[in-house]
Amino acid sequence: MTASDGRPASDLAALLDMRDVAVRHVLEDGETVEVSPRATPDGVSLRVDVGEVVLLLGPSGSGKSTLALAANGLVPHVVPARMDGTVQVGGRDTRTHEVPTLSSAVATVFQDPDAQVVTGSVLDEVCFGPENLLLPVAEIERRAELALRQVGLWERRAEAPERLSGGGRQRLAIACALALGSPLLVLDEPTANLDPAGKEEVYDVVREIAASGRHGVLLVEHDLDAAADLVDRVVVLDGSGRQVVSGPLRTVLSEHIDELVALGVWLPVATLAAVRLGLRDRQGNLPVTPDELATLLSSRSAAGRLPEPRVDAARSVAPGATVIDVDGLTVRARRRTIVDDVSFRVTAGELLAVVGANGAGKTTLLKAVAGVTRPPRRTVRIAGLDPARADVADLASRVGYVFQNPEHQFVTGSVRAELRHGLTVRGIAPDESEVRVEEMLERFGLTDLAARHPFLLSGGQKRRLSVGTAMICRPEVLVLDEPTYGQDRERAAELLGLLDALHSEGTTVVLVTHDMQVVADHATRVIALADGRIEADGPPGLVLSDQPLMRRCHLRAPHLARATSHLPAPWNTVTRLADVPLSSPTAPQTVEISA
Amino acid sequence: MSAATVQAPVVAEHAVVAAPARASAPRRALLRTANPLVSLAGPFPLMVVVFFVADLRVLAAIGVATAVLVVAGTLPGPRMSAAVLLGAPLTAGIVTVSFGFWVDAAAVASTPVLVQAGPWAYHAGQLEIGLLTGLRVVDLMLLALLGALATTGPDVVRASIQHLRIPYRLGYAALAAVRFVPRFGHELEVIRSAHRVRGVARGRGPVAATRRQAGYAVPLLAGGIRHAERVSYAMDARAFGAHSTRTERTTHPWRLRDTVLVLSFWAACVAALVLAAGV
Amino acid sequence: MKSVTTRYLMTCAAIGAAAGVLLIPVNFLAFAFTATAPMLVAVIVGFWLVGPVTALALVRRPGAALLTSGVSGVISMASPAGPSAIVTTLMVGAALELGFLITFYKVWKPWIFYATATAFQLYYLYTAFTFYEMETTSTWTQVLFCTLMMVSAWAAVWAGLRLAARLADTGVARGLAPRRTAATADTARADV
Ligand SMILES: Nc1ncnc2c1ncn2[C@@H]1O[C@H](COP(=O)(O)OP(=O)(O)OP(=O)(O)O)[C@@H](O)[C@H]1O
Ligand SMILES: Nc1ncnc2c1ncn2[C@@H]1O[C@H](COP(=O)(O)OP(=O)(O)OP(=O)(O)O)[C@@H](O)[C@H]1O
Ligand SMILES: [Mg+2]
Ligand SMILES: [Mg+2]
Repeated sequence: MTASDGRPASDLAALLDMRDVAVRHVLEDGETVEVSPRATPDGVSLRVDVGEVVLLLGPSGSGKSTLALAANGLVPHVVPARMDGTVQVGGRDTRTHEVPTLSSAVATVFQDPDAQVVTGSVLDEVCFGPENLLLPVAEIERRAELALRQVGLWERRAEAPERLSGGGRQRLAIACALALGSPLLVLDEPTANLDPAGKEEVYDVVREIAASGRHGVLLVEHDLDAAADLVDRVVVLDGSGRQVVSGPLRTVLSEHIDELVALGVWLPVATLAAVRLGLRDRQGNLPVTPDELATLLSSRSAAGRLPEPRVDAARSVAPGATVIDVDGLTVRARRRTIVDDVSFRVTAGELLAVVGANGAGKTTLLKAVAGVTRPPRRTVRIAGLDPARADVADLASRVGYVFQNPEHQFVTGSVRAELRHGLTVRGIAPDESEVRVEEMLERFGLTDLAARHPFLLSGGQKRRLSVGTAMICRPEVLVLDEPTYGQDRERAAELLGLLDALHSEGTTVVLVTHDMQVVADHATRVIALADGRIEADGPPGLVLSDQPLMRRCHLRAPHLARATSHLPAPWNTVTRLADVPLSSPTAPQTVEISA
Repeated sequence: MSAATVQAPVVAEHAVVAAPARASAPRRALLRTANPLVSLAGPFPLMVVVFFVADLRVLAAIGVATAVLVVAGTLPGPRMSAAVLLGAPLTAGIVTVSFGFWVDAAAVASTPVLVQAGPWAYHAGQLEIGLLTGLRVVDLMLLALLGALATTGPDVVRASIQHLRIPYRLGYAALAAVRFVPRFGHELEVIRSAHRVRGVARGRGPVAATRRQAGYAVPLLAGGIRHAERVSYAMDARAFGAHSTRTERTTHPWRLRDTVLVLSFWAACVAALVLAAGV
Repeated sequence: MKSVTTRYLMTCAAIGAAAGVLLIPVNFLAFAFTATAPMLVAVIVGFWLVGPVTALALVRRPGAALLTSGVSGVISMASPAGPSAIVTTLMVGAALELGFLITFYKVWKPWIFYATATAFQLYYLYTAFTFYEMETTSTWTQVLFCTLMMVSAWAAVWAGLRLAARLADTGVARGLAPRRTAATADTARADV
C-alpha cells in the first residue's frame, strides 16, 4: 500500500494523516446560510512523520490556511465549514476529538504574532498551554524553561511579549507550541510580517526542531528561499485547491517546474534564475538555495560557459524636478523619537524603496512625508505642498497613500462605492467618475465583486482595492506600505508590474517592503532606515551589496545577490532576476515574470 | 520592539520565575495585600446602605471612616492622600450648596431663611437636604475609590476564578481583553488618519464631529473582533478549555485576615443601619 | 460551558473591551457630574447600554450582553469607580438579558431592545430618586431628569443596533449568530 503522496505508508501512526480532505466554508449570519460552492482545499491527502518538514505550496486562496486549520481540528469544530475526508492526528480522528484535547498532539503557530498573545509576560505565555492541560506546576515550569531555552528567550522570560521584536514574538509562539509537548507543529506563514533578520531567527529555530528528530512540521510559507533548505517534501495545490503534485522538494521543482510557474506560486529565486539560464546540475536537478546556484554558476563560469548578464541602462533615472523634499524631519511619539532628523530628496520618476528592520520607523516616516500624520512645519514638501499646512483634500488629490493594513482605509460599504468615494470628494462629475470606476474594476479584476463589502474580500483582493482607491485619483506621488505582503507570486508580479507602468508614465512611487528581491528588481533607489535614522541612501546595487550595512539594519542581501556575489565580474553585480539572461530556448517564457 | 532589544536583552537581576502577582503594590498597604475580592465584597454592601440611609450623622461617619481607610489602607502616596483628605470635604460642600438649589423651595418654606436676595430665598431646609445628597455622593465616591486603589481588574478576575467558581474560560476572556486596550488605542490613531486623508465627513461643528467618530467605530470594532477571532483560535490550539479547571501558578489565597476585613465592613453596614433606624 | 466556543467568548470580550475603554472617561465624567450637576448624569447613562446592546444584536446569543458588560466592567475598573464598575455594568447586562430571556431568545425585534432598556431605566430612575432625594425637587426638575434619562437610553439602543447592523455587514459575526429558523438551515443543507 502506498500513501497517495507517493511514499510507502508505514505501519506506525503518522503524526498527521490527511485523506481526501475537502473543505467548504459556510457563511451564515443569522439571516442566511450559504455554503461555498467551491471546496478549498479539494481532495488533499498528505502525511507527516517524525523528523519531516512538509511544505504546503499553492496560490493565494487555494486553501492552505484552511488545511492548516483542519490539521488541528479548528476546521470543522470551530471554523464554520463542511469537511469531507478524514484527518488523523497522532492516530486520533479530529472529527471525534475536541480541539483543546488534540493540542497535545498538534500545536499551531499562526501568521500574526500579535494575535497569539494571551498573557502579560513571556513566561506566563509559555505556561498558558501546559496550565490548560492541568499539568503540575513543577512540570509546567520545567517544560517552559526547556521551550524558552530552545528558542533563545529564556533570558527574557520576565518581559512583556509586546517588548519583543516581531521575530522574537514568533519564536515565543513556537516556544508555546513546544511547551504543549505536541510532536506535530503546524506553521502557517510564520514569518510573513518579519524583517529578514527576524525571518532568519525563526527558521534557525525551525531547523533545530526538525533536526531534533522528535517533531514533524507542516509548513505553509510564501518565501521559499527562506525555507527551501529545511523542507523534505512538498505538496502543491492549484488555484482551485486540488492537489496537483507532491514529493521531495528538489524532485518536484525539477520535474514540474513549468506547472509550478504556471500556477503562480512563489518559487526559490535560485530556481527561477537557473530556469532562465537553462541550467541544471549533472543529475538534471534545478538548484533550490542560493548556495546551490552559486556552485552551479561558478562551475559554469570556470568552464567559460556562462553568458554575459544583461545590463539594463534604462533604469538609471535622469534627474528631474524635485517632488519630495524632506529636510530635518523628526517625529516623536510618547516621548520616544521614532524618526530622527531625516533628510532626503526624491525627483520626479524615481521608484524609491524604504527598507529596515521591524520598528525602524518606516511607516512613521512615510506617513509624515505623505501628510497622513502632520509633520512639523517646513520639514516636508511633497508635490509642491507642505503637508503641515496643506488642505487635506488638496494633498490627497496629489499624493496617494496605501496603508499597511488595507482595512484601515475602507470607509464605505461596497467595492464600487469605495472606488467612487475619492472621486466624489474631489467633485468629479458622476459620468466621468463612473467611467474611471469601471476601468479600475476591470484593471484589478474586481468587476464581479463590485457590490461586495470591502471587508469580505480576500486578503489579496483587499490589497488591490486599496491600491485602486489611491490610484483612481491619479496622484503625482504614490506611497505604498508593504504592497506585496500576503500576495502570491502572480498577484505580486501583477501589482509590481502596475507600479512599474505608473512609474514609467512619470508617477513618483515610494514603497516600503521587507522583500529585498523586490527592491533589487524594481527600485531605482533605496533608503535603509535603522532606529529612525537613514543608514544608507543610494541605488539598489550599491546599498544591497554592502554586507555590514545590511546586517546592521537587520537586512539580508537579495537571494540572487547571495548566489552571484562570489562570481567574477560582471556577474558579481547581478541582483535582478531580469539581468539574468534568457539563454536557453527551452526556458519557459512565463519566467519572464520576475519574482 | 525596537530591533536593538533583540541583541541586548536586558534582564533585571531579580527576575523571578513566577511573575509577581501585584508587583506595584507596596508591601505594607493592608488592603492592597489583601485578597482582591475583599475590595469588592467589603465596600459594596456599604454602597447600597448609603443609597437608603437618610441620617446625616451616619453618612458623615461612613465618609470619615472611608477616607481614613483609603489613605491608611492603600497608601496611595502623598498627592493622592492630600487629594482625598481635602477633596472629600470640599466636594461635600459644593454638592451641598448646589443641590440645595434643586430642592423645591415651597416644600421647605417653613424652615428659616438663610440667604435672601430680593424675592429669592435659600432656606435651611434646602441646605439640609443638600447636605444629605452631598454626603451620599462623597461616601459613594470614597467607597469606589477604595476599591480602585486597592486592586486592579485582572486581579479581581483571577481571584474570582479561584474563589467564586467563575468558569475560567469566562475569566480568561476578560483577561485577554485587557490586552486589547492598547491595541485599540493604536488602531484608532491609524484609522483616524486614514479617514482624514480619504476625506470622510469633513467639516466643523458637533454634527460632523459625531459622524466622524461614528465612522471610526465600525472599522475599529470590526478589526477588534477579527483580532479576537484569531486570538481565540490561538487559545483553542493551546488547549484552552481542555479540562473543566486549569493549573494556576499564581494564586490569591484567602487568609483569615481577609475574612476579618470583610466581616468588619459588614459590621459597619449593620451598625449604620441600626444607628440610622434611631434605636 | 463546553458548548460555548472561545470565538464567541472573545468576540464579546472585544466588544466589551471597546465599551470598557469608552466607559473609563465616562466614569470620570459621572464622578464629576454627580458632584456638580446631577442633571448631566442623566445624559450619559446611555453609554452603559451601547456595548451590551451591540453585542446582543450582533451575535444573538444568550449571555452576550452579560459577558460583554462584565468585560467592560473589568476594563473600566481603571477609573475612580474601581470594582464597583463591574457591579454597575453587570447589572445593565443582566437587565438586557432579561428582556430576551422572556422570549426564550427567539425574537430579536428592535422593540424588545427599546422596551428592555426602558424598563431598566425606570428601575434606575427609582434608585436615582432615592439617592438624590428627588421627591423634594420641583416638578420641572423631575420631568427634565426623567426625559433626559429616557432619551439617553433610547439613543444608546439606537446607536447600538445601528452599529451591530453595520458590523454584521462586514461579516465579522459570520458563523457566530445562530440560524434564524431551522428552515433556512435545511434548505442550505439541501443545496450541498
Ligand atoms: N472564514 C471563512 N469564511 C468563508 N470563506 C473563507 C474563510 N476562510 C477562507 N475562506 C475562503 O476559502 C478559500 C481558501 O482560503 P485560505 O485562507 O485557506 O487560502 P490560502 O491558501 O491560505 O491563501 P493565502 O495564501 O492568501 O493565505 C478562499 O477562497 C477564502 O476566500
Ligand atoms: N503613535 C505611536 N506612539 C508610540 N509609539 C509608536 C507610535 N507609532 C509607532 N510607534 C513605535 O515606533 C516604532 C516604529 O514604528 P513603525 O510602524 O514606523 O515601524 P516600521 O518600520 O513600519 O515597522 P514594520 O516593519 O514592523 O511595519 C515602533 O517601535 C512603534 O511601536
Ligand atoms: Mg493563508
Ligand atoms: Mg510598517
